[in-house]
Amino acid sequence: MLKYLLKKVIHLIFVMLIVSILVFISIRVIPGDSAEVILRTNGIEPTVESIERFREELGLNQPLLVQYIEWLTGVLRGDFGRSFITGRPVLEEVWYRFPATLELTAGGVVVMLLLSLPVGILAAVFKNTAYDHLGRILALLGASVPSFWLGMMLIYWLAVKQSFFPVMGRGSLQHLILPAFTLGLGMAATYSRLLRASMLEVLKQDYIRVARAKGLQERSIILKHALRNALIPVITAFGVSFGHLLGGTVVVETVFTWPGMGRFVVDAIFSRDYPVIQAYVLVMALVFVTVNFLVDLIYQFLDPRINFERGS
Amino acid sequence: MKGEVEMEVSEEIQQSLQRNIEKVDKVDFNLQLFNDKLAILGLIIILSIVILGALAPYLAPYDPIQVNLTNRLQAPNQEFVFGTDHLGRCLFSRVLFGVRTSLAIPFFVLLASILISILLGTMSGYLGGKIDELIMGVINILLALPSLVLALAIAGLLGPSLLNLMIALVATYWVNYARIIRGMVISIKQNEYILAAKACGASEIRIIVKHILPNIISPIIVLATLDMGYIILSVSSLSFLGLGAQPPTAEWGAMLNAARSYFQLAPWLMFFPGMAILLVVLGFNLLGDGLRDVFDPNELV
Repeated sequence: MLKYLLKKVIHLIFVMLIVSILVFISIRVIPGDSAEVILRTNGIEPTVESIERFREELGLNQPLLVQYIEWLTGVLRGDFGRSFITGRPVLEEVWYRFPATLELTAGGVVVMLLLSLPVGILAAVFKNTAYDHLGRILALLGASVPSFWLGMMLIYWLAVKQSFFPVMGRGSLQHLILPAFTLGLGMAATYSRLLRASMLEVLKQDYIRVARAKGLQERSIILKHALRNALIPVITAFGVSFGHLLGGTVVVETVFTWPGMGRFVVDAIFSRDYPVIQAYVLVMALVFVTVNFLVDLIYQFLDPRINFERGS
Repeated sequence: MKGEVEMEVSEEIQQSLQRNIEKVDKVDFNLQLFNDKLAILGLIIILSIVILGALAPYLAPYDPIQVNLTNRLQAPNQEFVFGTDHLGRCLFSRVLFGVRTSLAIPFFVLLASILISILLGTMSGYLGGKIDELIMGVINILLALPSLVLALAIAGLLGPSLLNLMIALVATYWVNYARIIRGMVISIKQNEYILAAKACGASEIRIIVKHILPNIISPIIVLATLDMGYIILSVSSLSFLGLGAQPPTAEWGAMLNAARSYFQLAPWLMFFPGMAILLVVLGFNLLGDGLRDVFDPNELV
């Protein structure tokens, strides 16, 4: 068990190290001289002297390896450099917006659970009935709606036409509902289908038949015995979907002017604020890899059949 | 080393892949698919939209990029069925021409991803050894990032343009297919007919092209259909963020981006392009859902 954990953690660190190298190199391979591009986008005339001074400032004149090691030690100490635009430390900027993105993602997960659990379970229990078909059609629709459009429509109908919700921004629970719904709907659609399939699989198992033969209430069979096992494959998929949610926050934050990292990075992309993009990618990778690591652990905990030593 | 490779592609996955591969050969899936009314509906939606897009120059009443400020922001009326945008362009014509960009870009992204993944996935699975380790290493690193974040980062670094958007998405999507193809190749490789072909002195290339690739193509095409809706959404999302199609190109995501500043004033600007995306993605999802039912006996309705 410990050996397994250690192996996983080493793998995690290795992956993050490679990602950091890629993130570091990415700035060096962008088309054109990065120093010139950066100066130009900041409205500074790229003369020979200004380029030279800027290169020195960024340490661009040193060998690549030295640059990387210096950069990495900085990053490990939390120093991602300064934003080209605001001039403030990038970590401070990103850290300041991180809770907003986390709140939105958590909201998305809650919406996903609230929608997909009942729809998925009922669709499996009432297989091939009108309810099942309705569930399928709703899931297909939910998976087909572009989230940015859904967000705009919700704002238009529920915030502008009827003022049920605030139009934009973050603050109360009222602010969170529309963005969280927009973010979670697509994922809820996928999950309701996944849960239905997994539930049907479990309901075919012998132990469910035993439970029925014992005369247990159907309700308790479904919710206590079947659901627990049906959730296992669903939880495994959660690691990957969490990534989709993280990616989705970029779009949703833009639509709802939610003050999170996603909107910040979109702005950074247009102003070519590379340190911000770098920090964003690294933070996202770290969050994503860590969540997948945790999901892996939970998965093994939930399903004792899986051997810690052998599972790859 | 070999043990590790085999462990990664768990037997379960191999078996199900094998089942699917066999199914493609055996099941007359046309028959099953056409029993599924929703899948047919999906196919009809896709075909009608493709035809509309192909005939756009004949059907569109106006030039989609012709600016006419005197007609700006007109609500849908008899002359302009979908209304006009902030530059007075006919929205109906723009949505119609938008079919071309909004479908062609995802199509080429998918095509390029599949070609790259067939090349790398087959190499990885068939040759094994160091090459396999290298390719799998790259794949595992790319998987450390959520796909949309990765695409966003690449498109962001390269700068906003349609071509860069396509590069970013291909760089993101080939990974999934390559992993699946590698698993399929490893499982096919163990078949006796491959051994027989080897014994007959067939060259490696011949074995790959004649005996392995034909087994891979059909399941991959099915997978691609399943993913098409998702890729259309990704393309339009990135375009919506301003990273894809640039004005004045008529592309649905970019049109919605432009509509953002006016949508409270002119909701039709957002309604029609969004409906177009919804409809075409729904078409692919309906078809894909039907295909999945054919391939996965567990999900038969």
